[in-house]
Amino acid sequence: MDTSIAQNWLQFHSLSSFPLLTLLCAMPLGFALLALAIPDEQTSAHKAWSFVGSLVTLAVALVVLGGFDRNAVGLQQVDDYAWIPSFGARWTLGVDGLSLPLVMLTAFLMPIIFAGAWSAIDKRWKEFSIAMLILETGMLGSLLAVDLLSFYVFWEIMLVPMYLIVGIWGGKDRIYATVKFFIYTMFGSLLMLVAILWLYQKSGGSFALAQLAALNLSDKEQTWLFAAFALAFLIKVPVFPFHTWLPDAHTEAPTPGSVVLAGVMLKLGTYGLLRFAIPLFPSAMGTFSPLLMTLAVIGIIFGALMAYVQTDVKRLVAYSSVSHLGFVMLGIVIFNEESLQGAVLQGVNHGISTGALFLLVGYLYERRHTREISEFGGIAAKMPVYAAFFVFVTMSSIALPLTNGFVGEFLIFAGSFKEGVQAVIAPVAEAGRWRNTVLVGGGIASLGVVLGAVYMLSMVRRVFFGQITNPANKALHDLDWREKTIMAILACFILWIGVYPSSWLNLSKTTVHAMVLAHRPAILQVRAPLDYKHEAIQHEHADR
Amino acid sequence: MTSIPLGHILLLAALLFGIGLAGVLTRRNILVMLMSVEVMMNAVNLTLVGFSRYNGWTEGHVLAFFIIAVAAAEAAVGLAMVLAVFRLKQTTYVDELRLLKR
Amino acid sequence: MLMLPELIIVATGFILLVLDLFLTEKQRDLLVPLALAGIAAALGALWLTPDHGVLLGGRFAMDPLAWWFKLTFLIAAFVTVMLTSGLLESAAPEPRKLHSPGEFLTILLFNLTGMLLLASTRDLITLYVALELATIPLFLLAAWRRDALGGEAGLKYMVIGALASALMLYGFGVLYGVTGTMRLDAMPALLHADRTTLYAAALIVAGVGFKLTLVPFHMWAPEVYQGAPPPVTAWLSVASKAAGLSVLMLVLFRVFRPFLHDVSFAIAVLATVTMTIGNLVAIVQRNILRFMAFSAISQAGYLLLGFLAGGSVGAAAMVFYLLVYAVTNLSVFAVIILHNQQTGSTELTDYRGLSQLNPLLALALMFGLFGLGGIPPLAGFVGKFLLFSVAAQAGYHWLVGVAAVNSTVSLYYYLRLVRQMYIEAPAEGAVPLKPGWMLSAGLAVTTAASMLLGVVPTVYESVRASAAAWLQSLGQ
Repeated sequence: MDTSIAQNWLQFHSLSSFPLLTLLCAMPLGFALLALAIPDEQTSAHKAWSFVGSLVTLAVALVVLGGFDRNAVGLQQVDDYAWIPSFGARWTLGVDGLSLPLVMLTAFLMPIIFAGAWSAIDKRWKEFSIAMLILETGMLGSLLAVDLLSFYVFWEIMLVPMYLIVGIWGGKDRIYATVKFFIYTMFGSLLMLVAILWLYQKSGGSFALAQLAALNLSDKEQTWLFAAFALAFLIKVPVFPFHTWLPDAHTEAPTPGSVVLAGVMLKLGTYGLLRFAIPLFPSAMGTFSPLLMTLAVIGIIFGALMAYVQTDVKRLVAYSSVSHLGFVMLGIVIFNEESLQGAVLQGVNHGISTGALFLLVGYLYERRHTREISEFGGIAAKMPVYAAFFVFVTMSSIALPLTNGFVGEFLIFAGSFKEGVQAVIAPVAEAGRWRNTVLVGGGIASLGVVLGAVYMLSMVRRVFFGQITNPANKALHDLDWREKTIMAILACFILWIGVYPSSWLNLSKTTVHAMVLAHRPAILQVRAPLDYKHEAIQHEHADR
Repeated sequence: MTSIPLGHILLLAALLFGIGLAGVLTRRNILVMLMSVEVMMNAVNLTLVGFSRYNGWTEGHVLAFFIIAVAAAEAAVGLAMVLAVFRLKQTTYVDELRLLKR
Repeated sequence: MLMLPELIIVATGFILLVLDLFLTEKQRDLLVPLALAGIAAALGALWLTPDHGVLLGGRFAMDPLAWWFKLTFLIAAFVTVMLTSGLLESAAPEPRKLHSPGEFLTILLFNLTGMLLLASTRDLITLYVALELATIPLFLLAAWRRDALGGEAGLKYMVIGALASALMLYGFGVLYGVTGTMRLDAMPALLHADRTTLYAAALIVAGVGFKLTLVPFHMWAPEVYQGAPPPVTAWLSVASKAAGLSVLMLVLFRVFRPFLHDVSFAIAVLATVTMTIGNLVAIVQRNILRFMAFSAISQAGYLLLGFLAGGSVGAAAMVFYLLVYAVTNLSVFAVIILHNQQTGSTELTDYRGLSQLNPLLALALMFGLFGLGGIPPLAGFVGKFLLFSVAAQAGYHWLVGVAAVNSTVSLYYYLRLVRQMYIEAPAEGAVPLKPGWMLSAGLAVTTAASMLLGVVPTVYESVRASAAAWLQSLGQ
């Protein structure tokens, strides 16, 4: 029973008769192409058109969600066509519990981003809406593609619109930021391309993920190829020390750009690790586990400390992203059911909460044209609704119970704890080393939660409470109906996931279960051989 | 009458070719450079004709004729351009033609 | 019948030359459509030409890959004439106008004939004559404007071109001396893996290297690209490079094929140096034509990767990439030609704000540049990907890594131009460019092709099939 689940998780569970996923990918692109026909000057037409486009895409995504079978193992609603037959390239899109939450997040955030951009973007709307819609196609495609070549194509498509979004509508140092972003990501992905080609040769001419995952690779090959794949994804996440592009890009990007970057694009890095790097090279994942664990923990603490010393609110939020994604990475590295559930959910949570924070910071910036913390103080009196939303989102960001952040972080820590203590039964040096790493790392990471509360709350205090000292803040007006609606929707989601997380966890449960069955043994065999034997015995018992 | 061995002819051709090459690379007068290229071409002709003559082949002679004809065409084009440039710049030295370097 | 495309082009050339004598300045505007009609007729003839067969006792032969080369040459010529139309017409702006349209087109068509013949030659004599016909007219075209810049470009090009053909001829001479035959197909059996063979191969590759702008034989390219009229530069960067590749394929695949595997390391080094130097130097260029020259140099480096695997995969990858490169580069040059025609500038910074003045032109140029940089899903990506996979197949994984890093570098400088167009504001008083309909059509067609060739697999599939058939014909 177990083995069939493990074998099937990358196989096609159901082919779809109608190319629904292709339609989902193509929808934003189609709207972007039609937007070319609308004259430049008609800004409001562009605003409406792109908003409608993202809503229609959301509707298609909801149809995909409706047809999704939560209990099935493997890829669902697969579209599989030959692309360049003599080259073995195929067009394969599929959805499973790993990608569906992120697909829904993307489709859901885009209308919010467009609505939020109505005031944030003040020039060249035509180019903006086209770039944004193409970006959405790239993101959805990267999440759905299970053929390495088509994945790579979508992965690269995302770069150009993002480059333009930061470059055209960004802040003062936008050019430096956008070029840095582009070069970093491009470098990482080209090394991944080299690795993809290696796999392609090795397999005798296929890019299909399931086929490549079944290859027999030597340890040395696994190590190098994993390094090439992981580098591309770690840069995207970003994991310390590859994170330096992120604060620049985030700070300089316009609000919609920051939201899409934090909301979806960073998650593509962690998604890529789970979807491609680990299934393709599980034992290399075992080898790299201690290193990745260390980097994740450093990222958590370093991000938090850097956030604490920032004077610019947006930069602070950007560094908090580094810290939060460290938690997601931690969940991935631990690789047991709880931690992976947590990592997948925390990805969605971070998208919603940090997206909301960037929108809120954007509102303030539109009113005052500054983001320096010292410029503010006591504005809760002038903007009570705004302050209320901000405090609520902050609660989610620092993982207070009943908010979404709590559920995700709790699961990740629960997973780490389990990983740390279960090895106690095998008190031999080899198993012990990994166990100690997990316990120490988890301990330090939990410190990050405390630090997170410290920097967020101190920022909130300095911005919102106390007396109004700066006369410029006396004229501030509160949120209008559009801004309130956007925030209310996001707040509902924060509360929904916080109070009733099972509706989201159920989406990914089966897939995560299959992933753990499929790859955990290989990972464990390398990083903690005794634990591996122990678990194997347990499984045998369970089978009997 | 004893004939000159093939090796000598090839050696002479190689020497001529080297001289021509050195001329193109070191001289700075455009006319001298063109003449050096002609020397190289003729070295090639010598090689071809030498091989053909000693082995009783014919095709080498044919190619040599073509080379002579094409080289003449090339020289015509080249000298026309030298004239055009000389009329504008009053020089035939490449070092003094320095518009294209930035 | 086999030679019909060539004959049509030669005939068109002569008709234009004679007609030019009887026309007034105004009536000469008819010459461009006439030339286009001739090239289109040749394209039609090529379509009907069988892709194998021999003429003239085996000195002229068609094979499936020659067919693709001829297609590339004809398409490039057609588009080049379309792009040049604005500068050839009697109403063109004066300092940049290209005078004597009749002679210009005639020389261009003769040049094209040389290239078409080149792809079909099977012995050293026809190869040499065709190669010179594909080269000498270029000197004249480069110096067409008769100003100091053009004259200097033409002169430098000619001296270096003559030097290159002398080197190659010496290689031919050695080859002939060793084998005693001029027939390319008869040579492999008569050659031995010794120093003389290597010597001949090195001389020939050096000679072709000038044409293909391989480092260290590339130094003429930036100066000639900059000094020649932009349409000629476009023609030079596409057709001349294609001609160089077709000669290199003739020589390496037909003559030196048994030894190709032994020298693959040297080819890898040549490719590495070419792409790296091209990309690094391109970063600091401020003149767009020099910029495109170094970009073209680096592209030649990528092309060489196809020689690493002797089989049909490598040949197919090269021919496909050449086709993709031709349409993509021409689409970029379409905008450059128009910009130069109406502003007189060739500075990179003068493209600032183009996206606000001419959104569609800027978009097309951006697609072209990203195609050259190899961003999916544009055809440039697929082409590069195929070449990289050839190198990977041959076991040159380090080279794939080098090529990947090079692609990153190249994107950095292509982005410099994108940045000027999209991020910088337009200059004070800048006016939108007004493209003529013919140039617009050329741009639209090449841009569409540079996108569709990547997504629609039909073309690659048929190139691949042709390459397989071609390889079989080589084996016999």
